[in-house]
Amino acid sequence: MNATPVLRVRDLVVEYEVHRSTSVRVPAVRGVSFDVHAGEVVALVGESGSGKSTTAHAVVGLLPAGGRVVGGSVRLHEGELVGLPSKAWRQVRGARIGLVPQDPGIALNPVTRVGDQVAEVLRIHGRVRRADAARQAVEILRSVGLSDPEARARQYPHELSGGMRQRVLIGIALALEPALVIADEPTSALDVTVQRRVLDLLDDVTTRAGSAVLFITHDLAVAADRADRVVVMKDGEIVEQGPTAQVLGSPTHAYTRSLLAAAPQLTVTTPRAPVPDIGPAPLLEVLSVSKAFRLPGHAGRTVQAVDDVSLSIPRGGAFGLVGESGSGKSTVARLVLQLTAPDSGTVLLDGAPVSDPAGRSVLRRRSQLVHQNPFASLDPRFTVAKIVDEPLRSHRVGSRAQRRDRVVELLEQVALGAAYADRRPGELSGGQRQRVAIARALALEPDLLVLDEPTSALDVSVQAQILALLDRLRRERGLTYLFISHDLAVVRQVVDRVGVLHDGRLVEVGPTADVFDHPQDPYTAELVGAIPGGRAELTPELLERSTR
Amino acid sequence: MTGYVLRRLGAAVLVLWAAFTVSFAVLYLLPSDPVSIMLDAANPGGTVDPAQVVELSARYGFDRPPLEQYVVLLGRAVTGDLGVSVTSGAPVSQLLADAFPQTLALTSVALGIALLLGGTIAATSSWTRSTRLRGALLALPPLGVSMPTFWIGLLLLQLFSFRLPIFPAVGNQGVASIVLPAVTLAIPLSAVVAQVLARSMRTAWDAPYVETALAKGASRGRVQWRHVTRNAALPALTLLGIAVGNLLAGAVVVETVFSRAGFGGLVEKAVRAQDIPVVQGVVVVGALVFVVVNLVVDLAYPALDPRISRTPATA
Amino acid sequence: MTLVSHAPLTVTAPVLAPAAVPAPGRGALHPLLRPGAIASLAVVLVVLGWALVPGLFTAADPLVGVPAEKLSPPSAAHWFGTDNLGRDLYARTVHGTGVSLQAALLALGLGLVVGALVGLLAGYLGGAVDAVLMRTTDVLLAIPGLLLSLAVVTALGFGTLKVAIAVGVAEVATFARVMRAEVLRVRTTTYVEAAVLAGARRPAVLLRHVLPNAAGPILVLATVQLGVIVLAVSSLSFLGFGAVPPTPEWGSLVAEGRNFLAVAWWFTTLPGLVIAALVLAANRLGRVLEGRTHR
Repeated sequence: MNATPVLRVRDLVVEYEVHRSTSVRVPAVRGVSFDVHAGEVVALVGESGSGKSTTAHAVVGLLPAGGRVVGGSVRLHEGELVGLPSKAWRQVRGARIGLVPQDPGIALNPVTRVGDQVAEVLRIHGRVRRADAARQAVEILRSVGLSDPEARARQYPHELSGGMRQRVLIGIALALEPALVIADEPTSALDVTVQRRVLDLLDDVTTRAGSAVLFITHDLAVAADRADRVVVMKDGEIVEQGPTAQVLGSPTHAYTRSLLAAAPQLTVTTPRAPVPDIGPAPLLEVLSVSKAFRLPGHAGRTVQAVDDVSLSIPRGGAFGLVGESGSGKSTVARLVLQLTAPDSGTVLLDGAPVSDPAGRSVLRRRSQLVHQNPFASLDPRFTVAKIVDEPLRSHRVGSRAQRRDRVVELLEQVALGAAYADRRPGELSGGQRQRVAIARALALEPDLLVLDEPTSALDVSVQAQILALLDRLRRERGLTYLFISHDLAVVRQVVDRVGVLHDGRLVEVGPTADVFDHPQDPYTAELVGAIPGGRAELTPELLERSTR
Repeated sequence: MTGYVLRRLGAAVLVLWAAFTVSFAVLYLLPSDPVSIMLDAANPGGTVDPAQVVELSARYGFDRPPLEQYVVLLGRAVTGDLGVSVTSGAPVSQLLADAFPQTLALTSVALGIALLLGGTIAATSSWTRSTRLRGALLALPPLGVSMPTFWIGLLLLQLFSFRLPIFPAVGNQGVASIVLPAVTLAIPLSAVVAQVLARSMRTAWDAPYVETALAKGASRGRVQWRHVTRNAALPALTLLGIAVGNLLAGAVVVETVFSRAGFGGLVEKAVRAQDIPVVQGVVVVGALVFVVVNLVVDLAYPALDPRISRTPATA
Repeated sequence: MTLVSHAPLTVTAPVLAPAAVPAPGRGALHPLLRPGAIASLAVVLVVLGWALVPGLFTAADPLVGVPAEKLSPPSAAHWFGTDNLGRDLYARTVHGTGVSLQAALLALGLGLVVGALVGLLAGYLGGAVDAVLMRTTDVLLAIPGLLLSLAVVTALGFGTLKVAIAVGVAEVATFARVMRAEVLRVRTTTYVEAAVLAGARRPAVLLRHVLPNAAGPILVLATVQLGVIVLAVSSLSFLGFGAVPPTPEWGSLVAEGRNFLAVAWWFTTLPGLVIAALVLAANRLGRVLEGRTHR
């Protein structure tokens, strides 16, 4: 590895202007150094705010407004990129450095045909004629595995699925076989099965083109699967870097260890202590509910969101409902809570149907929902105390003073404490907000908590804390959980039984361990197989990759 | 697609009918006595001859129940008969037809100037990387929307007709006579166009597809032209109906300032004389212009935005 | 004007910026303390002073002139010059402020109260009520505002109060639409769903969540529309449908100078400048407020 690296970053410092009218600047990247060698995949791993994305954008010279490289050096082969005039930059971007952006849903121009967008990169760099560029664009689309590329080239982005769009973007990034490809969280917006196929494609085409890859991800498991070397960032600095097996196998830095411990996929699944008092009597029964939605704009056409789903959760149990986007899992949650009425089927809480008025008021008191996004579920104008107090006030529980005491007690249960009572949501972090939302959900001492992706908006280390909190609360208070998630690995940590939803149908139900270790349904098997980090458990392969 | 066109057409007719109804409600049903207003306007301070009141009431149908008046007027309006002017006795439709070409010329030129000027300000401010130039350009639109139209017109008259006698101060003769009125009318609209477009262009510049284009090696100019402008202009297109409606209303003031014949002069005189049929005619034509422009935009939109064209019903 | 004031209404959040973009903290000037905002506030305060206590700002009589001093240019004695009857134009502008501003505020109040109520009902009740109310506002929006105002003036007759009503009627639809959109936005937020799940009843949700969160944008709109309304009122006054002469009013002041454009530039220019300054200031303050509510 003594050859000149493809990318050599030394002491890179990037600052952001706080506000245009002042000269206050804060560093986002503070003295970062790393190399990417030919044929290598280097993963830049960190949580939000770690500076990983800023580093990547500095390398390709596309820092957002207000961002500036104030120190250090970025060399591509022998050429210095820092301070390059914009005309010279344009010859680097697209030709020598390709970028695979984060969210394929919005990274293509919505009003331009896909083929033209691929051809644009050829037209910018080569002096190709329009017709030749169009023909080459079709070949590029074929090479990234799109079926019927001639037709695809004439389509617009909204006519392609998320996975297909990301293939198009990979095609654009690799069209001119650049020396370096920067992949910025390329699959975090995609479903897990699609994610796997797209990452396989990226592996494949970068190998073919001989491009080195700088892979930005928050997901340690994805890094473990895909990278030769891992660079771990925190607060704008590198805390640890080295071959993947070494960094993940025997991390030297405490932060890396905490990240590893928090990453659900990589956690060695120690059998959790069984929850003691799961009774035999079902608390929640869902009996063959179905729900169809009308497709907007297509008169009479409907989509079957939930199709004959039945499940039962005993008092004190925790049931995980897993599925990809569009599988109908959130609709099931809304049906259970009577936020949507089912077309057919019934929901029973403690044996009584929740659809009639009496059952409904019981439902409102004895079940609560924790929303996916704690940034949206708290009224920005309320104080924390007022938010947690709202259910108590609405149900006229106790006097004002008693409610005040109860709010403090609830805040302590979620490990926030009375000091937070007078803050507003805007002053809290995502994890703190989700704790407030959980405290609110616990206020009326419900039996059933419906958790709708409660950690998907949070960083991994925060996610681990919230999952631990939920597990503790369940044990202490005998709560029953319906846990909705797209993330199998998260579900695995919390629940006793799992149901897998696919296109509105429950394709498999069983005890957590059985479903994960011996999936019966082919879709479940694909889902389980696609969990990133799966390859990381096979240490020999990992070692082989990292020493290659 | 035919269904889509028919639905849009139906909606347009409905809006037109409703505008007629609203203007009827305002002009005929508000607690005022149209006959005495008309008589008073025709002969201020004069004594009212009861026979004349009866005669006028009968001629305009004010002695009938409101619903009956409404049905009669609507029935006539459908056939293009908007009644007769109280002051001149000429058919309202004839008066409108005579005035319309002048106003059409004025507003079309003004619209062209406004789109060109506003579009240039917006595109330049979003394309440039010089914060100073951007700041200077973006300081213009707030000025433009803050100045009273009549004041702009008078300033331009002072400067370019009296100080520097380049353009005629009044009248409709020749191309030169349309320049100052059109510029006057265009300035507030160009400011609005610049504000709306600049905002949506800034949004477009922040969109990830711009980063994708820059990462291909595209220059800022190419990104502005190929990616930003089209994406930003499409949503702004839906404001065209309101913009043209406002031009028509602005023409009332501008034509008065420049003493031009046209719609503005007609309505200004009609309001002064409280010539109800003429005022109603102008209001209905104003709504008609709005409806037609919106209809054209609606029908053209699917051809311009691929996201709509494939699913016409969601528009 | 800064770039920041143009940013708020973006539809999609810029994904480009890294998550770590620091929050504006110390060192960033409070938006109300920037020079432009201070100047705007000063303009608004001075104009308010003119409206409330005109005598404090000028000793000259707005109605009685000195014929010998007619059409004299701006000077230390007559800041805005004099008109064709020798009346002090500054005094006429100052004394005309009360009437002009009253009309504008009345129109704003009418548009705001009726519009917000309509929007609230439409957005909160939904269904048929919503459909009927919103189709009606659609129609009102289809008629260019000034033409609608002219129709109302035709029906009601002339005068400042009637002009105010006419302009206010034309504003109802704008406020109704924004209010409805805000109510719908807040109603479908997750935090309102959370409140419903917490057992809050409809009136409580409306009062505690929907109204406070919808009020901000409506007040911003009111500030911005104040400028539009001042312009509309002065246009109608310019056309001669407002106060009866010799009562001074901003729009009619400018109209009186029309016949003296060639000889007395100040006659139309300076009163018009006051109108423009007030509208500019109101717009500027509106955008500062807008930036704050969207944060």
